[in-house]
Amino acid sequence: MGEIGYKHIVCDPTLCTGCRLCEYACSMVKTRSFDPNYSRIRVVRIEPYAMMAIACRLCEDAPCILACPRDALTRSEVNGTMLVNTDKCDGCGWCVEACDFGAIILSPESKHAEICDLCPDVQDGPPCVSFCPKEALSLATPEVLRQQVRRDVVARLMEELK
Amino acid sequence: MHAYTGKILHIDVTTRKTRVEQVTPEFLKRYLGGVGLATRLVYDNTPAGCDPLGPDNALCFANGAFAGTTMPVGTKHGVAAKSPLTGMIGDSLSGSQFSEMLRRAGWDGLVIKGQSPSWVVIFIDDDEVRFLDATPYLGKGTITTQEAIREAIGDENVRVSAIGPAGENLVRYALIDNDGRQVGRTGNGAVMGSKRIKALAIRGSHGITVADPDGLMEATLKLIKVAQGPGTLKYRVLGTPSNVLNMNAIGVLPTRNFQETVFDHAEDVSGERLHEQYHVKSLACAGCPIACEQWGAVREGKYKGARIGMDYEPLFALGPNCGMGSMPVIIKLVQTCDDLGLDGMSAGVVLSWAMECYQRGILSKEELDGVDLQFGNDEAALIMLDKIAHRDGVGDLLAEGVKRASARVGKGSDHFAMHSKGLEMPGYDVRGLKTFAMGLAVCTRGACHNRALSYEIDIKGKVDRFTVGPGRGKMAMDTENFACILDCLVLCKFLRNCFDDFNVDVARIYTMATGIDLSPEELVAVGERVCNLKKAFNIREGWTRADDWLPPRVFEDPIPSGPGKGAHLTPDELNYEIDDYYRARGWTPEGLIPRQKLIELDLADIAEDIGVEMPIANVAAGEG
Amino acid sequence: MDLSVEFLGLARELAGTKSCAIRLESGATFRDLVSSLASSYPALVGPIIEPNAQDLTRAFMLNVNGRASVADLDALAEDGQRILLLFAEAGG
Repeated sequence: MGEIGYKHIVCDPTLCTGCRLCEYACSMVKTRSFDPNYSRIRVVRIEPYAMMAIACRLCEDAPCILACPRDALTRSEVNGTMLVNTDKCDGCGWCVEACDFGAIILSPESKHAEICDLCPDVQDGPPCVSFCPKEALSLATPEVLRQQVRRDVVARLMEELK
Repeated sequence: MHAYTGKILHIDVTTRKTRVEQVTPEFLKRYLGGVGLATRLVYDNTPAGCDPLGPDNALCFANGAFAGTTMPVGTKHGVAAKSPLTGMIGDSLSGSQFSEMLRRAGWDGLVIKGQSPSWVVIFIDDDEVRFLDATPYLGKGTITTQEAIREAIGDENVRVSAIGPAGENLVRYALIDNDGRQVGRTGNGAVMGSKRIKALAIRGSHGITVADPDGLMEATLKLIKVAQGPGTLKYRVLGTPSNVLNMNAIGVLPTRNFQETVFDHAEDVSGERLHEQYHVKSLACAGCPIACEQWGAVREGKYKGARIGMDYEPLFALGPNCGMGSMPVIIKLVQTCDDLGLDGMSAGVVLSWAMECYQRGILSKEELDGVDLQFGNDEAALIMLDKIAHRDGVGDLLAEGVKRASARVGKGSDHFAMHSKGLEMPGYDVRGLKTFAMGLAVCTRGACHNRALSYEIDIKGKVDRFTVGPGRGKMAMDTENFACILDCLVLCKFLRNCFDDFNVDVARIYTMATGIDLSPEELVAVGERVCNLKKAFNIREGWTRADDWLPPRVFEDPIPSGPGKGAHLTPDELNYEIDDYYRARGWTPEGLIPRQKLIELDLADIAEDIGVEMPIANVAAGEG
Repeated sequence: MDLSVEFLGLARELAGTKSCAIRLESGATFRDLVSSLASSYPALVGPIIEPNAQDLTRAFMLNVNGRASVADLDALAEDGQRILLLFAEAGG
C-alpha cells in the first residue's frame, strides 16, 4: 500500500461544538449502552468555547507500549491500532498514565485497558465519525494532515497578498 | 426499565432525610418527563395555597425520556415549582450535561422540599446524597460556583445546577444555571434560594440502556443528518438573534418598554451584525446536532472581554427594549444577568419599566438611588442589575418584578408594566399579533411565547394579524398542545421541522428507547393532558378569568409608527378570542375545567379536586 | 411594475446584498417574483427557494410592506410593493 502512515481519528477543533454525540455513539457500539465512561473517544472542553474530541493517535513510538510491565500492548501491523492482550493485561493502569492524550481507559467491567481500535467490524466505519453532526471527526494519516495544514497556510498567504 | 430508571428521589432539606419513590411505566407514559412530570410532581407534593418561598413548595426536577442517548436535542430536563413571581405553575426547561448525569445517577426526577437551616450544596452521587457546606460559594456567580464545586470535589464529571446572588437574595425572577444553560423564567432560582440551596451537584456512573439499540441508533443517525439541513437553517447560522430584523421589519420589535415597535438601531443589534463582527463559535448542548448557541465576544472597547451565547429574548429585553443600540453593551448586559443569576427577559422588562417611570417623572433620580436610569444608559443598567441581584436600595423594589413593583409605586405605572400574570412579556409586540395576544393572555405560565407558540400563526400570515376572527382559539390551543408535547418528552423545539410525521416518528423512537408502547394518539394526548394539568394547578392556587389579561398599554396605546402604526387591541377583541379559546379547550366560559374533561384526559384525581359541572347550556353551545 | 425586495438573515448573506429592485410584467404573481429572484440570485436556490424556482422552502416567506405575509404565492403582486424575504420561524 502506498499510503504513508496509519489513519487515526482526527478532530477539527474549529468545527467541534462539544456535543459529545461521539462519546454516546462509541460507548453504545462497544458496550450496548450509552455510557461515556466507556467511550474510547472523549471530548475535552475548556469553557467557554475551546473543545475537541481526542482518541488514540497511534503514536509511532507509543509510550503505552513502553510502559506496560507485562508487554500486554502491541501495535497492529494491519491498521496501526494498539492491541491489548487480555490474557496478559492485569488492569494496572500504567499505560493510562503513560499516554500523553488520556486516550486509554481502564474498564471496571472487563478489567482491562481499552483503546480505540477504529471499529474494524463496523460496516460504515467508526460510529463517532458517522454521528458527528458537524463532520469535525475524520480519519487521516499524519501525512495527509500535514498536507492539509500546508495547503491552509498557502491559501491564507494568498488571501493576504490579494 | 430502559432509558427511564423508574425512580424519583425525594429530599427534605430541613431534616436532611431522603426517600425513593418508585414510578411505573404507566405513570411515566402519561407525562413522559420534563415539564409534564415536573408539574405532576409539584401538584402532588405542594399543598394548595403554600408560600412559594416557604418550605412546603416542592422544587421538582424531571428528566427527559431521551436524556443521555443519541436522540438529538433530547438530553434535557424540566424544573417546576409554584412560582414566586406569578403564584401559579412555574415550569422551566434546561438541558445538557446535568440532564445526562441525572439519568446516569439513576433518577427520573427529584422532589426537594423544606428549608435548610444553613446554606448547602446537595451532592447526589449515584444513590448517595451528601449535604456539603455552601459557605465558600455564597455570593459567587452561577458559572464560578459550578467550577468551584467541580474543583472542590475533584471530578469534571460532577455537573452542577447553581444559583447566583439573585437566587440567594430571593429575587422573584432569579434563575438556575447548569452547564451554561438556564432554568430561566418564573423564579425557580428564588425557590432554590428560599431553601438555602446554593447548588445541586450530581454525578452518575451508570450507563443508559435502551430497548432497541440498533433501531434507535439508526433512527437517531438519520435525524442528526436531517438536522444539518433546511429545517434548522436559521438556528445553525444566525441563531435566534436573527429575529431582531425580522420583528423590526414587520413592526413588532418592542422598543423602549414597548412604547414603540421599530428600533432605529436594529441593524446594529441584529443577528446579522453579531454574526459578522462578534461571532466566536456556535456551541451545542450535550447530544445536540444543531449548535444554536451563537457565542459573541467583545474584543475591544469598554466591555472588552465580555462574551455570551446570545439568544433573541434576552437580546430584545436588554437591547431595543431598554434603548440599547450597541451589541457590545447587550453582550455585557446578558452575560451579567446570567452570572448574577437573573432571568434576562424579566430583568430587561423590569429595567425598561423603571426607565419609563424615570422618563415620566414617576420615579425620581433620588428614588432610583441617584442612578440616571435613562433608556440607552448602559452603565446605569449595569448598576441597577447589580442592585437588583443584591436587593440593594431600589433594587429591592425592582427585584419584585413589574407587577408588584408597579402596584407599590402606583401613579399609573401599571399602565406600562408589561406582564401577564406577573410574568414579563416576550419580544413580540402583541398589538401587531392579535392571535398571539390571546395566546399570551391565556398561557398558564404567564406571558410566555415558548409555551404559547402562537406568534407563528400571526407571523406566517395564516390569519390577518391586525384583526381577530373565528377559529383562533383552536389554532392557539393546537400550538400550545404541540409545544407541550415537546416540553414533556423533552425535545428542544428547534428540531420540530425535521420530522416527516412528527407524531408517528417520535412515538416510534420513544418506544425504541424506553420499550414502552406509545401510539401517536397517546403522544398527542400528553400535550392536552399536561396543558390541562397546568391549568388545574393554577385554578387550585386561585386563578380566575381576570388573570387572563394584558396590560393597559396594549389596549390604550396604539403603535405610534412603523408597519404596525395605529394598531392596538380592544377588550372586546381579546374577550372574543378568549371565549373562543375556552370553547376550543372544552372549558366553561369562566375558564374552569369540567369534571368530565379531566376524567377523559386520565386525570380523575384532579377532577375530584377542581373539576366543575359543565352547565347544560354551555355543553350545547360548546359543540359548535 | 416595479417592486423592491429586502433580504434579511441568511437571504442577505446568500444574495450578497440588503435589497434589490425587481421589475415584473403587469399581472405577475408572487410566484413570478420568486422565479425572478431565483434567476437573479442563484445562491438562494436550495436553502431559500426550492429547486423548481417556484416555491420558497418551508422556513421562508414573503411579507408585503411589513404588514401581511403572503399566504398564497399565486396572488397578484402590485406595483410599488415593498417585499420582505423573511424567516418564517420565530422564537428563541
